[in-house]
Amino acid sequence: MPPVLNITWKELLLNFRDRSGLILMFIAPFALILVIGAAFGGFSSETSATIGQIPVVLVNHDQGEFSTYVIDAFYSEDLSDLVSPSLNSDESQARLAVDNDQAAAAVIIPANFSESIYPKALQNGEFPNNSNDNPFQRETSTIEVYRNPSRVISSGIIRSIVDTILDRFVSGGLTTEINILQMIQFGLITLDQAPEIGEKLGREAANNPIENDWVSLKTENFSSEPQQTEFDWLTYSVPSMAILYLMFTINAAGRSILTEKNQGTLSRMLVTPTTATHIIGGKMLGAILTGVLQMTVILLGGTLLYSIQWGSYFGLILLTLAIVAAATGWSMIIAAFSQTPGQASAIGTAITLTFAAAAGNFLPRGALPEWLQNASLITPNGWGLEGYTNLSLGNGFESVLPAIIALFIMALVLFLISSLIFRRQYQ
Amino acid sequence: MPLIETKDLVKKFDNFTAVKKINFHIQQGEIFGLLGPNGAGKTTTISMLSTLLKPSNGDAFISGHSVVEEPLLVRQIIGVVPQEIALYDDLTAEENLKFWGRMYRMSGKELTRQIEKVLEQIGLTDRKKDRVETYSGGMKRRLNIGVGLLHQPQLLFMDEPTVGIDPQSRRKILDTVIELNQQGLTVLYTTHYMEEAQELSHRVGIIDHGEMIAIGNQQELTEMVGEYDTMRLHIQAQEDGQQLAARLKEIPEIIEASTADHEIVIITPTAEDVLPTVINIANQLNIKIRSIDIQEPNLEAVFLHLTGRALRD
Repeated sequence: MPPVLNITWKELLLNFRDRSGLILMFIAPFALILVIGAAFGGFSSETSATIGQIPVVLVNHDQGEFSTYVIDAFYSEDLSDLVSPSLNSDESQARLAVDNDQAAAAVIIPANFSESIYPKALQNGEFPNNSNDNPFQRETSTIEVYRNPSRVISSGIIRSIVDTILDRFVSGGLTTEINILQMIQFGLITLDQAPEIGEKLGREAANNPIENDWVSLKTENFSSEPQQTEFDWLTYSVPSMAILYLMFTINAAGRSILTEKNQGTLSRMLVTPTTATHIIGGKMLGAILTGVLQMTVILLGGTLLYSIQWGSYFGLILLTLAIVAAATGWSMIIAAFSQTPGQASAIGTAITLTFAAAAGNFLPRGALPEWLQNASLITPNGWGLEGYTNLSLGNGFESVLPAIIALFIMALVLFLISSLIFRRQYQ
Repeated sequence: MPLIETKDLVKKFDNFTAVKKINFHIQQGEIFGLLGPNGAGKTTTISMLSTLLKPSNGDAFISGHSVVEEPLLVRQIIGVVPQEIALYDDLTAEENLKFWGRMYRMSGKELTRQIEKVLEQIGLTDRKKDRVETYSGGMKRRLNIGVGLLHQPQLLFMDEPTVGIDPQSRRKILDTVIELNQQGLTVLYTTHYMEEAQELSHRVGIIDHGEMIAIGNQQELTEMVGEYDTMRLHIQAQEDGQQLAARLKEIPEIIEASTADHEIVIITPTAEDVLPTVINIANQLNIKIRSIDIQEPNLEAVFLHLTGRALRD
């Protein structure tokens, strides 16, 4: 076994035999994650693990036929596992149900909804004489989704369902308009024929997505595996606590250089046929492997606990490696500038807590002032939290690539500086 | 060719010179004792010879290899037993030996065989699976030595290996050193215990304030001070020592009188003749003498003669 790997093996053996170290590595972060879960789960009537049968109240003020498609969609079999709709003609009662946390959201369809989709002018064949005027001038209507703020994820899902229905109606309506206008311009149909053809095209455009494409699309995204699309504190707490405790663990690993210096084992290693660079390298590799294992256990446990959906597992792995490398770089710098293990411990703890507070380990990063969010990007915590949040919101690998690059550059710079200092000290 | 040869070896720490142009050599198969009080420069000298510290000036050659230019080659030849117990408490004796053996690129059956041999040598075979944290101070010291022997070095540096242990363990360590030397191992042994240097060493270098003030075998060194006896007075109150020593120095037959802990060390050609006078003076000063020890010429006397101080000053 080469000396570097031998030192790494020894580091792992010592790290995993240290009971207090193991508590700090695994039990403490999980305990905090569970406490946060209990605290925030208590305030909210849902966690991301319990989404399903989302209660939604539907209020239909429209007498036209297009609003029934919206209602039918919520009652469709494909959404039956995800939503639990109820109809209520009284808008105020529907809002009250949401206010009382009996429903995740109320969907309020305005009276002119069908008119805005398929204007009466088009239905009656009443086209203006002036060809510059838009023959399909229509009223605007707004479906309101009245959301329950304590059910962030569920109400977000309801809003997404409504968004998708509206997208289909709008795109269906616009397609019909463009088709008819083009047919008139090219003389393929007369103005007299426009109403009949327009009605037919409009119905097809509106009907087909609901009956075929739309439901299947929503089933894929929302049915059995709900995809989280909004910030969730419980999900956030998992990488947040993982990074915080990683910093503590890695600091201890860096500090061990000074402990070994004190107990004489570092000097003893330095008189073996091994260079100082190899010795520091072996210790760093041990710290990195310990950190990766710790992060893996916490992230895996948190993912299972809260059913976190990561946008890219490849991104998750690379991001985790990058954070551990950057954290190791910081611990090496702290060790390089410290004289004793006690000094390194004090500086390391101060830096860890400052980084955590500045980067958003203790409260959502988005709640921090913008300047602090930017300033905290000199920390592994800042980039790490940005990256993990992006992935937990369903974003892909490209969303964490800047964080991965920044963290690896940070690690490289810190390694180089600390290596130079160690070489001066020990060689 | 000597196994160790130093040439004007100097080590400075900022404005403090810890080792001042030391020159000596050690032959193959020799036990060389480096004797001096704490802070004399023994550990700094060993640290330079073992390539842990880079000399500020001068050089040293181990088996012809420069400690400055070829440190990695030197490290393959030497074994080091540091003054502190440099072991991992959370690992077993076997795991410690395995780790340190691999640091010397040992592996496989060779490593296993050597571990068994060393454990036998240091008498820890029965406890090899126990964590070092459960060991007594003496057992840890023995394992500390075992690590230095594992890769079968030509030359072993032992830096005060008996500090802070019980007499039984100390005896065992001294016997081990003698046995290893009989098997052909060359040893550089630093100590501030005159008795150890006398018992073990073929030759002794006396070091003080970073300077090698005398080198030779025991006979050569004691001849430097002539046929003087060393008388040790153990007194009850340490604070009385200076007063008594000052009065004793006035006696013409007393060459040196110095204080160390609760002791007054007197160098004299005729210990038996001056003894009544010494007791009389102590009585006059109301100083209680608890015991008196008279020794024939030894390294302590040499050190006192050369420096005017006792070894444990």
